Amino acid sequence: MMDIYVSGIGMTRFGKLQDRTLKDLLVEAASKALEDAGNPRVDAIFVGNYMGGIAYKQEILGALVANELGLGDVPSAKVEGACASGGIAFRQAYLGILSGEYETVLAVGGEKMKQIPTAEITSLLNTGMDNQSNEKYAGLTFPGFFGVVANRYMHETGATKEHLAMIALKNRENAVNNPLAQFREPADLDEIMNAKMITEPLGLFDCSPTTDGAAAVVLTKHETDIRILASAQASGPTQMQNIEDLLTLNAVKRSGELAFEKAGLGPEDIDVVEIHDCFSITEIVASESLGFFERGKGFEAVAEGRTKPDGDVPINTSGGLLSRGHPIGATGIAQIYQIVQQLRGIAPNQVEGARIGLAQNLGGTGAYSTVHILERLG
Amino acid sequence: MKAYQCETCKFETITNPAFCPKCGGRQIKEFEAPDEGEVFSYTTIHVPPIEWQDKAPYHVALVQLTDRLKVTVHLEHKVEIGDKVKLREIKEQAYIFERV
Repeated sequence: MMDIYVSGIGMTRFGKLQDRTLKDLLVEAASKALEDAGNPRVDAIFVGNYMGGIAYKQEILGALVANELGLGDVPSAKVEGACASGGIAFRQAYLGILSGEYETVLAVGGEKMKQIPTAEITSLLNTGMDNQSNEKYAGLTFPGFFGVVANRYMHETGATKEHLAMIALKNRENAVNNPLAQFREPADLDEIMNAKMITEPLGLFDCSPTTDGAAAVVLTKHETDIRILASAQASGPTQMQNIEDLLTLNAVKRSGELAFEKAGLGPEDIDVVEIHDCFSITEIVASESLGFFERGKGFEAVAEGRTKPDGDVPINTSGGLLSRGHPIGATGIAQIYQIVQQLRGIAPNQVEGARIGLAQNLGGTGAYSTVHILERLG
Repeated sequence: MKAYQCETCKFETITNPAFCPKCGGRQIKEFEAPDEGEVFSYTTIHVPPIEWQDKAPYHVALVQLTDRLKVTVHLEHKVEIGDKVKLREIKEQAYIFERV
């Protein structure tokens, strides 16, 4: 099979960026990535974005980026897969090269959300669930789904709210060292445990924030020192009531299995991981679904510090969605950005000698998942 | 409560699927599921979407009705995992449950 590589990465600061437009965030990230790649000819553009239309009244993001970057008439498209929009855009770029149609493709993701009040954004986020089912009418929300998962997880495993808080704390500690992260002020366990309740048992620090920002990656068939070992994707249930095992994110499990199979590797071969921690509980459950820990044991690994940057399974060295921030369409690509930095040896919270990294991006309440495995050559 | 079962793999759902979500089977039969079940898990939502702003905090639970069937329900009172609950009414397309 053809080898496909990453030749450039770029990212804006994440946070509340009042004075920036969605277009100029996408362009900043994309032009940084293109410059990092040595300004190659680009054959196509895929833009990861979730709510440009409903929250920012802007679509045609592909053509906007092509025009602003002066890339002429190259084909372009926006890719939507809720919070996995970025991961899916990256994968579409990968598949476009694999097909033989393109040599070099730009994948860029971005979102502009901070202008929308919380109640309204909670309502808009519900478009990532099955709104045509009785679950919507019961009042289930996106965070509510993960609250239900967290209560069951604690009931079955003996984990406590403090274990959830340890995830939030670890990711905050990592974000403090990341110059592009949304939250760089240190927090402590007390503050996290006693924060405002959002949906029981999840408090403010257990939930990823709304964020403005963008990230970009250039993929190419021409050899560089970062090779994409595997790209995989799976769909999962769109209604909570249809999930057979609430503590397994099946799309994550399946996309992980496919990626490991393609790469000829297992979880034990991975040096550094970015996991989609939209909520603290999601990081634990996804780490188990990917096979890094047994089902129901992920919380123990957190308590033992195994998922810190100096642990044996470093997870979310960027600060994760919880503290780096979660500009939805950018997230999957920002994960790749951090993994590439790790493999280049220049990341915040650098993992000593990292050679193989994995990024997992989740959409909806388990509706989509992508897994990408990257390797440093030489 | 009306529910649906796939004749091929026996997967059960509360909503009527055109195809079985699990195996893709097309033979789906309707059956009468019990109105009573056990709380599998729950949450209390303090930060609601705009359309629920007047009602928060409110409670949502996943209720186990049969070995293969769960349903997402709305409750006016807090429950715990393992509590026995039953259907009170179906209102505006929501299953409203209460503690037995």
